[in-house]
This record gives sequence, structure tokens and C-alpha cells, in this order.
Amino acid sequence: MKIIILGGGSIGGSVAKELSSEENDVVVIDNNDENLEPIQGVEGIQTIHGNGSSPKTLAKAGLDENSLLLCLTDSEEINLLASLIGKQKFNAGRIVCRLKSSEYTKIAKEITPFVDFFINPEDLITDEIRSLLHHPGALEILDFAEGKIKLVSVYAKQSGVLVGRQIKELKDDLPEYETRIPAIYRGDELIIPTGTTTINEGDEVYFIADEKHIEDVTKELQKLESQYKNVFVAGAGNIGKSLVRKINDDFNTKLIDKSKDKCELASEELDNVLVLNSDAADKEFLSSEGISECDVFVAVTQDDESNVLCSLMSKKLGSKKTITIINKEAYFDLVGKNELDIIISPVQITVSHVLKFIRKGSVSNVHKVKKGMAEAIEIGVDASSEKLKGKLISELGLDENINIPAIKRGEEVIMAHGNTQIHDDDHLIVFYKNKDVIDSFYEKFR
Amino acid sequence: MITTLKLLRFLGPTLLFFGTFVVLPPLLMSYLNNALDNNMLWVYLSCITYSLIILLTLRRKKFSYTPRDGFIITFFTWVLISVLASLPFLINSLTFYDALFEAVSGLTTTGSTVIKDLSLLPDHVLLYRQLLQWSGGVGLVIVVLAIIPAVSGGMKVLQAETSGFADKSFSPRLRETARSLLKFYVLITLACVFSYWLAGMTWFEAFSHSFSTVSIGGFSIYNENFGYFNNHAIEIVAVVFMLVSATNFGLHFLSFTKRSFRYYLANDEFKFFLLIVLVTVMVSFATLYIKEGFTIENALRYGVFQTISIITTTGFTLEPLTAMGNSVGFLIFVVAFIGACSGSVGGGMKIWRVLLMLKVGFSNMTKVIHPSAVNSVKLNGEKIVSSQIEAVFAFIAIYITFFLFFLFVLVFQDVDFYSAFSGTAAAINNLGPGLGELSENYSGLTGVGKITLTLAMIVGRLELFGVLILMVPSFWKN
Repeated sequence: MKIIILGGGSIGGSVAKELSSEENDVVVIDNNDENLEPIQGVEGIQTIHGNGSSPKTLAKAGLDENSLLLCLTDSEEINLLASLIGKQKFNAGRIVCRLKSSEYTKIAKEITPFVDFFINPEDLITDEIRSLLHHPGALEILDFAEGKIKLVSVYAKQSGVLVGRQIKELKDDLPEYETRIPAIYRGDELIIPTGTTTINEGDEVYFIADEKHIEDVTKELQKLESQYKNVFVAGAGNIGKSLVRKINDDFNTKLIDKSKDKCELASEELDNVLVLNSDAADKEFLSSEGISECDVFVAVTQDDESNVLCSLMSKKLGSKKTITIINKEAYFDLVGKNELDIIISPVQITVSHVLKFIRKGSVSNVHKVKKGMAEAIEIGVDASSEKLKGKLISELGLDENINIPAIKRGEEVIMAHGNTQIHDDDHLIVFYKNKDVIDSFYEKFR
Repeated sequence: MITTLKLLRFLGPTLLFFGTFVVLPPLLMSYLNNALDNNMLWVYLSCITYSLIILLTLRRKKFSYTPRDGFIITFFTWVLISVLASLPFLINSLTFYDALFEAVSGLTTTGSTVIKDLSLLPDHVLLYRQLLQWSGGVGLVIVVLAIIPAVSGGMKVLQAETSGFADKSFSPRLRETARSLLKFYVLITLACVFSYWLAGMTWFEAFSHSFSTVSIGGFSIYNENFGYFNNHAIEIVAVVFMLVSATNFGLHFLSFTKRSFRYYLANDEFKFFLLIVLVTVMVSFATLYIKEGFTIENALRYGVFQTISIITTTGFTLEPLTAMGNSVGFLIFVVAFIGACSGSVGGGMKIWRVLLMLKVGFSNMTKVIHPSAVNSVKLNGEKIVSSQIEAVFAFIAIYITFFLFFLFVLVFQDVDFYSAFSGTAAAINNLGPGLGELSENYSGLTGVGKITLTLAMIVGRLELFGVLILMVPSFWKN
């Protein structure tokens, strides 16, 4: 498939790399050479220097009715305009348009009804941070089946009831509801566990459960932290503001930014929020604002280095937990889990959502897990996967690299056993190590 | 020189309106009662003659108005009309001070009176007093703007007279704005007349009292004021229309044209106004019932009617205010300083200014606790810039300074402090009756005292700056 991507920055570039590795012809358009440079040599990617909303550039990129247009630039004006031109002039096959949290979001569906998929990275990131704040202990929370079930990861600690025991004993502790553990990270290794796998201290355990059971399952793995109260948010940019807007009613929030202008803008746009103008890594300032009482310090400035620095500083001064936004993949491993608690990658979140749309029609969710080390997807059973229908899960011959922990059937979510039968229209939640595994899975059953 | 011409030109339609709507009805009434009031006839004829002369000479001349013109015109129009309006009172055995006091109290919608016994006045003079309030309520300038075609810079003239009374929520065109306002004012007046009539007043009473209700005035044609009727239904009607008139007319207009109540709910000033009314009424009620030993029924009646009448700066009374005891009297006079909403016909410092002051206060307290906090003071969801905040603080400071100045003068006239406080507050807030010695009427004051309060009423009505700016020397230098 031909895919044209507008914007080659961190998001556009990552999407381009991801898609080109899936045998698509990718053209990236950006008016900044610096953005194009890192992806220039990549196999399957063509780069064009130019304005994404210019018809000339789009024609040069070869936009036609068979191609997919992804408008992912920073500017929603350019994205909307390019969508419009892409549809009206070039009759692009499918269009994805990136928006920001602004007034355009409300009317975008009206003025560009032909756009197949709108994506709002700020919204996705802040939703994720919000759900992490509401579930103390969770490191990652991913939605499946329209949010009916969640894939959650937590550290196994000595204080957890299940730690040191086998997974199958979980059933004895929590007989009333079902949960599945599709994956465990031990060190750098991904383990797809069986019932007899023992959970060790320090494991990062992924489990699937209904939202209201998350707390109980977490209790099995570590002593439950009390609900968070005091939250510091460093960075009053778009993400910071939209996050504070979402959490201000539930938490005691302080919004911090170095820039006086940004602070003034934030205090103008937000009601009843304490906005503080200071360097978030300033020791004196953090102490005087009571950082030792802080439950979660969230660093969401645009600058990775500042985020890491002020998170480390806050941690040192007594903040119980940190959530840090990091865009550059190279930094993920640099900062160990002992220093920073939760790292959020806006790029990964956004790419996951773009992929969800681009992957074959039956895929309704794609999540990159553990910063891309594994994926979890939700695929529908339809005409294209005739061979799956009627099969028991044990008959699929899944190996240790892939498993199917849960199935969404109609409005219901059932936890899968070996003898669970797959029906037409089921949505399978599939957890697997890498793309080769899922590709061979597809080949087998398509 | 040009400014004088502009003033003369402006006075033309003003006097036409004044003659036709304020002087003519009582004049006709006196004629029908077979006691033609010659004094009023002279006032009427001179008004009409003057405006005819202006019509014939200066009509075609187009002026453009600067803010400076606005202040001069507004102030002198008020002074001239005040003097003119006092003439019909002169024959009714009032001194010049008294007549001027009565006229200004009417025109500024204050509602204080120096007349000891209203029953001695003929009906047409009583009607004339009510009409003075009605015309003063809407503001003479607005009327003129509605009549004069295309006044360029007219907005500046308007600013001198009103605090956002006619903002652009009506129409971007000034003339349309003025007309919409007038229509609305007339409409509300008629609704009030009809309601009073239904509640049991005669048509004459209903008209007279509507004029002073809708204008937040407070004059009555009876010595006993609203106590004369002793009728709950009438008091309820009065309460409703006092609240309506103390609210921003722009809000009424928006809600009426868009047929939706959400504009009220989205307005911070209106919500704060309701809160003030609610809290003050409850405190008054509780104090009257518990401390002053009123029956539940009377505590409720006085607590609601009397409190709302004072804090909206109307000034209707059921009984002289001393009957409510010192505590409640003092409370409602202090609350009256807050006054009515901007863009209404009420007086006082205006609720938005006080609300803004409180918000700035709270925001400063946050700064003490969190030195690096950045705060925006917002009203109706919009940020208030610091120059506006400064203007509000300046206003409040000058308002209080003026108040103290007038209070000094009264105290120096050997008025006791409690009465002097209430009298000055009543005048500067365009409220009406006072407490203590001044609770029935102001006839006990000396001439100087009366002139002082007369001035206080105009200062309050023109919101200080309209008067104060004329005292700045550089204003007069070109």
C-alpha cells in the first residue's frame, strides 16, 4: 500500500519506520530537512522536502485514490487543509488527521466528514496519565474492548500475596472473578507464562482484568498504595494544561512552568488551578511547595532532558512516584526503573493508535507494550479469518511467543481457557512477542 | 467654543424629551383638574421653544464627540436639567435648596425627600416627582442618543453617564442599542404597571409607583410609602421588579432575544448578586426574628421587602427604617454600598467592582502562601487585565474618599453620626431614606447639608469620574 505521511517529526518519523517495515511504500513530506534526515536512508521510505498542504507537493508524492494519507504535522491547520485537498483534489483512499486539544476538535467531524480517523495525541497521553493516577501501583494501563477490560502492568513486590507462588494459585485467592496473566518481564526477558510459572519479586507482571478488579489483582502482587492526593505537574504546555483539566477535580494539583507567559496563559484557561512560575527542577522551590508531601510528580514539558532532570530531583526530595514523558527512544533504557517509576512515550502511544487504524480492517486495537518490546492487539473474527471459527484455543497450536488471554463476545468479555471455543464475530485479544509471530499466526488462519 | 455648541445642540433633544415626557403629563393633569399649573406651563414652553430653536439652527450641523465632550456635556446637562426640574417645586412653598434636592433626588433615582407631608401636594406634582425618577432611571443621555441620528463618538458620551449600561450586547450600533434599551425599559415599566394594578392598586397608583420601581428610585405618592398599601401581593410585585431592574439589562435582553436562561447562569456578577441578596435577606430575617422580637410573618415581610428595597438601592419603605432596629438598618446600608449590577439602573459601587476586588484579594492571599503562583483574575471566564483592576481599585478608593468627605460635612452640620452615615450612604449610593433622624425625610437638614447631599447624589449617579474628571486642571487645557 502507498502511504503518504505529512510531518516527519518524532511521531511522523516513528510511524513511517513502523509502516515501512510492514512492506508499505512510504512517502514522508516535511518542510524541515532536520526532520527528514534521520529517515532518509531507511528502506522503503521516500522523503520530500515541502509544504504538506501544497497540492503540488502532494501530487509529487503521488497521492491517488489507492493511497493512504496520514496528516501528522504539529499544525492542525495544515492537517485539516491537507485532508481537504487530499480528498477533494486527489480523492485519497483513506485519510488520518491529527488534531490538538482545541476548538477544532469539536468541529473537525463536521467540516471534514470524509476523514476516516482523527487522532489526538495530547488527549491519548493525558488519558493514559489520568488512569495511571487513578490506579496506584500500575505502571501501564491499556484499553481493550472499548475500555471494558484493561491490560495492566505492575511490579511484583515482596508485599504481594502471590509473589513466590505459581500463577494458578491466583484462582484460589480470587475465586469470584477471573483474570489472566499473559506476560511477565523478568530482567529484559519476556516470558509468556503458564499456570505453573512462579512469580518472582521484581517481575513486571501484565494482567488482564475488568477495570473494577484492578485493585484486587494489584493487591496480589504488591501491597496496595493508598489513593494519590497531591499531584505536581511540571510543564504548562498543551499536555500539561489538558492533563490538569482532566485531573484537577480529583487531585490536589499544582501546575509548574518555567515560562511566565505559559503560566499566565494556563491560569487564564484553567479554573481553580494553582499555577506556579518556577523551574521545576529548582530544589528550594520544590521544597517550599511541599514536594515531600507529593504523591506523584508528573513531568510533561516538551523537553526530554528537563523531564528526566526534574523527575529525578523531585524523587530525591521525597516525591513518592514519578511519571515522566520521554520522546527519544534512546533514553528509555538509559534511565533505570529504580530512578524513574513510570515512563510514558507519546510517540509509542500515538503510533499504536495510528497502527490500530492502518492494520488490516479486523484489527480494532493495537498496543505497543513495554515500549515496543511486545504488542497486544484486538482482532475481530470475520470472513477473512474463516479458519479460526469453531476452533478451541488449545487447537490453535500457540507456542510460548503468543497467547490469547481474553475474548470479547458481544458486550461480554470472557477470560479464555484452552477449551474456550472461538465464535464468529468474537474479538480476540492477542499478546505476542514480535511481529513475525503475529504474521505467521495470520498466515495460518487466513 | 465648539464644546459649548455641542452642549447646546445636545440640550435640544434632551429638553424636548424632558418637556414631552416629564412635564407635559402632569401639566395636562393639572389642566384636567381645572387647576392649570402656570409654573409648569412656563417650564414646558421654554423647553419646547429651546428645542425648536436648536432644531431650526443647529440641526444640520454634524459634530463628532470626544471623551472630553462627553464628560462636559453629561455633567452640564445634569446640572441644567436639575435646576430646570426644580422649578415646578418652587411654587409649592419649597425653598430653592429643597426644590433642588427634591429634583436631583428624583433625577438620580435616589428617592430621598425633604417634603414633610406629601398629602399637601396636588396630584400632578406627585406624578411629576415619579416621572422625574422614571426619566432619570434610563438616563437622559440614552434617550438623546436614541433620538439623534448618527452621533459619531456617541459611545464616549455614553460612557460618561453609565457603567456599561449600554454595552455592545444589544447591537454594535449605538443608536440601536439605545433604542433597544428604551423599548425594554418601557416594556418592563408596562409589565410593572399591570402587575401592580392586578395586585390591587388604582391605575394612578400603579403608574406612579411603577415609574419609581423600574427606575430603582424609591419615591412614593404617599407619606407612608409602601406601608400605605399594607398589601402582600403589592410588596411581592415590587420585590420582583426591583430585582429585575437591579440586574444588567444586557442580560435581560440577551436572554429575551435568545429565549434562554443560560445567560443568567453564565454571568458571575448576576450569580454574586443573587448570593448577596440571599445571604442578606436571611441574616436580616434571622436578626429581626431572634434579636428584635418580630413575629415570623413580620420578620419575613421586612426581611425580604425592606432588605431587597435597600440593597438594590431602591429605597421603598414599609415603615421608617428605624422600626427595624439599628443592627439590620446598619447591615443593609453597608450592603447597599455594593449596589446593583453593572448595566442596570441601580446605584452603589456596582457588584462587579466589588466581586473583582474580592477576587483580587483572594488571589493575593494565594501569592502570600505560594510566592511563585501565577494568578489570573477572571470575570465571566475572561481574564481581567491589570489596568482594569487598577481602575476598579481607584474607583473604590475615590468613592470611599468622597463618602468620607460628605460625611464630614454632615457631621460638621451637627447631624449625629448614625444619621449622617446613613444620609451620606443613601445619597451617594442613590438609595433614598436614611436612618435615625433622617428616616422619615431630610427636611431637618441645614441648607449646606442639603446641598452636600444633592452633590453626593450627582457624584454617585455619574459614578465619580464623570464629576471628578472636571476637576483635573489638564482637562480644561487644550
